[in-house]
Amino acid sequence: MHKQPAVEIKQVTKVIRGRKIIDRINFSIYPGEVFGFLGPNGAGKTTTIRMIVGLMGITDGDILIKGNSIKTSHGAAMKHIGAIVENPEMYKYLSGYLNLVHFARMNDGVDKKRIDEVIELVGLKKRIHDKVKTYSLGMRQRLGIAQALLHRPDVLILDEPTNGLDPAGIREMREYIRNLAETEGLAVIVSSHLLSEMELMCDRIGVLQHGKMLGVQQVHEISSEQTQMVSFQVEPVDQAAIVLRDMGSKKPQIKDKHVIIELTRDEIPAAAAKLTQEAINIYGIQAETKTLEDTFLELTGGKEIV
Amino acid sequence: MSKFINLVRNEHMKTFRRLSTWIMLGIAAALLITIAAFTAYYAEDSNGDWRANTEQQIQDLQKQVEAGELDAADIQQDLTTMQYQLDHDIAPVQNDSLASYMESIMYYCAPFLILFIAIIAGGLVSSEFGTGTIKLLLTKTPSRFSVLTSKYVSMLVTTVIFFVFFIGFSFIIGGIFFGFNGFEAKSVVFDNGEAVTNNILASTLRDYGLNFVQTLIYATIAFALSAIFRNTALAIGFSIFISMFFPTISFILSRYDWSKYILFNNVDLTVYNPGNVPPVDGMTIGFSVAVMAIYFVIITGITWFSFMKRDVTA
Repeated sequence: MHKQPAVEIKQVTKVIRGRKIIDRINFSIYPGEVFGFLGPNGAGKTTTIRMIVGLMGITDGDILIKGNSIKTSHGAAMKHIGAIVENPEMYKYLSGYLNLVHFARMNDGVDKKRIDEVIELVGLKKRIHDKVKTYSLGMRQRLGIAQALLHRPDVLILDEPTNGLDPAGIREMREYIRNLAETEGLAVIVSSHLLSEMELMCDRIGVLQHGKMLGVQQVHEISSEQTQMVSFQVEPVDQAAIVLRDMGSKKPQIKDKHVIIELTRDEIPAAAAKLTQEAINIYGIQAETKTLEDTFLELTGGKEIV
Repeated sequence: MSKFINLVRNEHMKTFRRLSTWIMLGIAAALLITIAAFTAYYAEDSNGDWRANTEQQIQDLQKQVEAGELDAADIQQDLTTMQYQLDHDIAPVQNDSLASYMESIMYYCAPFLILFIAIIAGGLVSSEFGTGTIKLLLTKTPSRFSVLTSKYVSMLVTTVIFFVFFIGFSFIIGGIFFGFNGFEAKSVVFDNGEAVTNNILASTLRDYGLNFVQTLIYATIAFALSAIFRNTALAIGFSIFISMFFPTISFILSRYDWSKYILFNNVDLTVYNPGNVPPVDGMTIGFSVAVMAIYFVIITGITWFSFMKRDVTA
């Protein structure tokens, strides 16, 4: 992960009427990753996203999009961004196609061919010449994405992309977003207050509360230094606990017929080998990854989220 | 530059794909046809000898003066113009003629033009905030300055289209109802103590031009309110209120010399036409244009500054 970041948020602060809405937040988003922006309502997610796309001014600090400051070079920065801020609002009295023509005219180098390509991509071909007011929310969402992708951006910003979609729609959206990041190498920023949703969609998640970035968490890969709770289903339990005593940083615990011990990923096979050596029967090994919810609650101090 | 033209095309597409724009043009067309039909239906019989009529009118007026019913000074203008008509053989213009119809459309429908353009201008910026599409407009490469300027330019083009529609449609309807003739029709007006002739069609076109300036000032106010309030209803309501009452209030104040610096005492340039008088003595057309220019710079300055600096929270 030492590529040039697609988006850099540097010491960004936003003050509205004397109140600090965002307090010196820092993070970077890299090409090919989906970055989730998680936080309770009112934590400052939307404000941060609005600052990234230039809808709101930045009181202090700077935001760079592929090295272009949003403050001083709006045009150069926006060239790389495709965004839907909150709901996918379109001109309802125009057809989907004319909406796309409208936004194509606002960008350089988007021709008719590209418009057709994007329509194909989001699967709106059949209804594209109908007025947007006849579209379902899911179709509007897709049209919003089509609009955001027209100019082949490097960064895609989606504020609450699954809001109001049905389960099938959410799943489709999720796969779609993952695909854009993995195959097209886009940096995607999504915001949500739905933990489970973010866990399935994102590579990394930044947790925001009261305008402060509480921490950035990897979702899928667990690094080798990170510990996790490992539960060994063994027989006899007491002996196993003694064998595993000198492994890990904390004392093993016995629960039902399981020995639970905190280990790093690399230590798990070593522990298993040691148990086998001592002729202890192993019936199962289960690594209990900390769920995002645990991490989240840990970070936010156990308070309710929404 | 081509990108800016594209922005204007976008605005234009949005204005003319809206049903409300076509409803306004439809109302205008219906109004023009109705006025033409009524004029044709109620037209007075014009078979009589206009010379005899005019002579009779002059005699009647003189009799009334002798009888002490009228003051000689009050009717001096009327007598002079009527005598001028007789001397120069200029027939009074009939109501049911193309020229007269076009002139009355200009007079009666100028307020509609202001109303229609104010409705369009008042929604140009605020409707984007209302629907949230402003977020899409401002998260593209064009700067906020270009976006707002393209909207203003599109408003200018729409105003021109509406004026061309009124002039063209009234010409066609007038021609159909009253015949395409009488282009040289003249009226006699009393200016600076003497009677002068005035080609009606030419003066109608001139007054359309002067009304265009007035319409643009009201449209600019509506546009400014739209960008500053970010609320369509407020912007349209307020600008219609301004266009209806402020000129009257300003006119009431016109007995004070300082009222010549009020914008609304300067927007109507037809007061400088022959036979008319400006609200305050000593005002000239150059003075009025200068006052409008100063107000224009202030209003647009505030509008552009506000649009470029304020956070978008819609």
